[in-house]
Amino acid sequence: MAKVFNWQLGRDMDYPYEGSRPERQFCMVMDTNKCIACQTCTIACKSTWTWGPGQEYMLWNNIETKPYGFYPTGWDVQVLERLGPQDWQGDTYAGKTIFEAAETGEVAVNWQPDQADWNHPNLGEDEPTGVAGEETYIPDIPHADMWMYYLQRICNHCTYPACLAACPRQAIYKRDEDGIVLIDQDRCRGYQECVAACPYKKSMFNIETRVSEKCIGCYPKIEQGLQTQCTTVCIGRLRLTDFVNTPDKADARNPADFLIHTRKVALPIYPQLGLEPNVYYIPPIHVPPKYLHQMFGPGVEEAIETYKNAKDDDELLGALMLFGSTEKIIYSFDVRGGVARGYDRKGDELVAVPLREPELVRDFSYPTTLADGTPATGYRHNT
Amino acid sequence: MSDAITRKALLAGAGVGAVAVGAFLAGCGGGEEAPQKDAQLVARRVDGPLPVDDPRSSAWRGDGETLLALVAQQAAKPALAQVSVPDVWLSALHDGRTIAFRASWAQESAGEVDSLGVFHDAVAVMLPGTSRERPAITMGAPGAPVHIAQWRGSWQKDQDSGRRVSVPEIYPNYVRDLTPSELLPPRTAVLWAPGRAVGNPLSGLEERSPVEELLAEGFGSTTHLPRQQASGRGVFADGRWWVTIAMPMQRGQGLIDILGGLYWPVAVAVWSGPAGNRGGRKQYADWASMLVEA
Repeated sequence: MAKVFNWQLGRDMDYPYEGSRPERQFCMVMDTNKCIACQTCTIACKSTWTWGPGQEYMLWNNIETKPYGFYPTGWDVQVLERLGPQDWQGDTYAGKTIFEAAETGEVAVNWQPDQADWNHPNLGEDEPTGVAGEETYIPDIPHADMWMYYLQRICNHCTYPACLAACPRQAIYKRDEDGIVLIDQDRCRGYQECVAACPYKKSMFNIETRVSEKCIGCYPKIEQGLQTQCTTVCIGRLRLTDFVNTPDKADARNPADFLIHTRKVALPIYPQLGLEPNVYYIPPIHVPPKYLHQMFGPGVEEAIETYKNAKDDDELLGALMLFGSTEKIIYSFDVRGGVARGYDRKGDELVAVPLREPELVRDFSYPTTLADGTPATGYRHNT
Repeated sequence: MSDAITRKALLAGAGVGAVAVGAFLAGCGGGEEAPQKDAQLVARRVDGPLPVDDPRSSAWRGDGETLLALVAQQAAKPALAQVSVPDVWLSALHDGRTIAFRASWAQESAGEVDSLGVFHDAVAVMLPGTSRERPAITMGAPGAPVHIAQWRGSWQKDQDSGRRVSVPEIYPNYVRDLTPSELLPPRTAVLWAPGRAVGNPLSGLEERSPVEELLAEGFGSTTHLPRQQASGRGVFADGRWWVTIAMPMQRGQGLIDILGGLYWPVAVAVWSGPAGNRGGRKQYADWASMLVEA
């Protein structure tokens, strides 16, 4: 195995191939706090990419209720249980990654879901962790006993993909121009090794074509400078499609870099698995940190504190306000005079979003006239 | 290294474990000039049609039939942790134009479906591609290709049933409305079957033999041959697979002809779908020598 540097772990790690970062790396930032699980993203993805026979059970994008919702069933607990202790020493991961903990003859710690596991997208939808009694009242955040939240999931287009590492035919590749990970549909022979190895379970087998498929990061849109389908349809405006740099090359003018590296408000999902996933999450503010620490690694509490302070942090507020504001990919942004502006690759303005809507207070009463022309005072009942 | 036992020796012996009579040595050179001590397999020349459609025909039985011990593929990852099929009987016949193999092995249940986490059974015979020297057992090597003919349980089921297993059979309660082919012209609709759109031979809907011919120059390099000439049939009965694989002796496509009166290396691999075997997770027998009768 080669040694590669994984900045999310703060250390080198074993990987079957030499490290080679793409020219640019596709990423997505998700604000979990804004999601209502309307599944508009899921439907947009499905009606764009996976409405063919053999793709019925495929959800390249899915929203699941945590902690009890899964797609496929148990995907994360299955790998976490197999991985062993996952301790951090500060920002450095002290446990083993799925590549380092692999059994003899295996590329990674893996788990192969069966047919039933794909049959219940989000089994346990909206299930909270406790039972609400008549007197239940939750005054404090985070909630200690009773909570749930929605997790938005696509392929993480990992820097060190397990699907790519496990494919014995090198049928999976990572594009240099944007870091998107794709399965060569001509070369794949349907061994499903990628399905077993991807801990996020975002490779899926098509029983009609008998080869595996996965989220393609809407690469035809990315090539045109557009954000993904799941991003642009999101009614909660909780997604941002962008490109992310490594911390040493972070550019604070880039909204993804700003959120991930500068404010450190968006965190990778299960970084301890060792894939350097490129979907980043603003953690839910009401969930116990112990759970969030397991899912998003160190820095969760600081991220939540920073996020909660957004109302007093115009730059952070501005970056968040740009989510869902344009279909175009925002390469850089700034906040001036209470307005957040996003720019394209050439620096031309794409969108301007006021941080705060102008406030107008209307009088409760107003002058009007009756039908016969008599002056009268009207009253607003919907103010 | 793998053990080989002739059927005759096995039947004459007191028990399976006591009658191993030879071992194939990996890397031995082939050639009729120095007949192989390990030449257990004989491809008998027969007159009349080869019983390719009848894997259980008594014509497949004879002194030349060989029991090959199988070992787990562990040279490349992902590997097979342990064998689930310990051995396979192999016999061969030819009529001067076609050479046919019959493989038989015991298995508790048949793997005939490709689905999510569900894998098919398969057996493959591997022959040298461009010389009679034994190529590397690792599916050949660059410049030393191997010719592989692989029978698949799922393709056999396709042929026997005249259709493919589809989603409603696996998820009978699934509800869907329109499919792309109901709404769009075929050239556009096929885009939602991407494997089919790019012409992946695994994805096509056309009728085909249950045997696929491949060329390889090392692990992970198998390539579907443009002209598919192999045929075969598999029958699962009494807890055993009985599978035939036949191919022209004049193979064409840059492959040397299989000539009678010579020794030829042949290797076998078996996949058990119910045991999760697929790709490199297979059990195989090292190169054996096969005398193709003149």
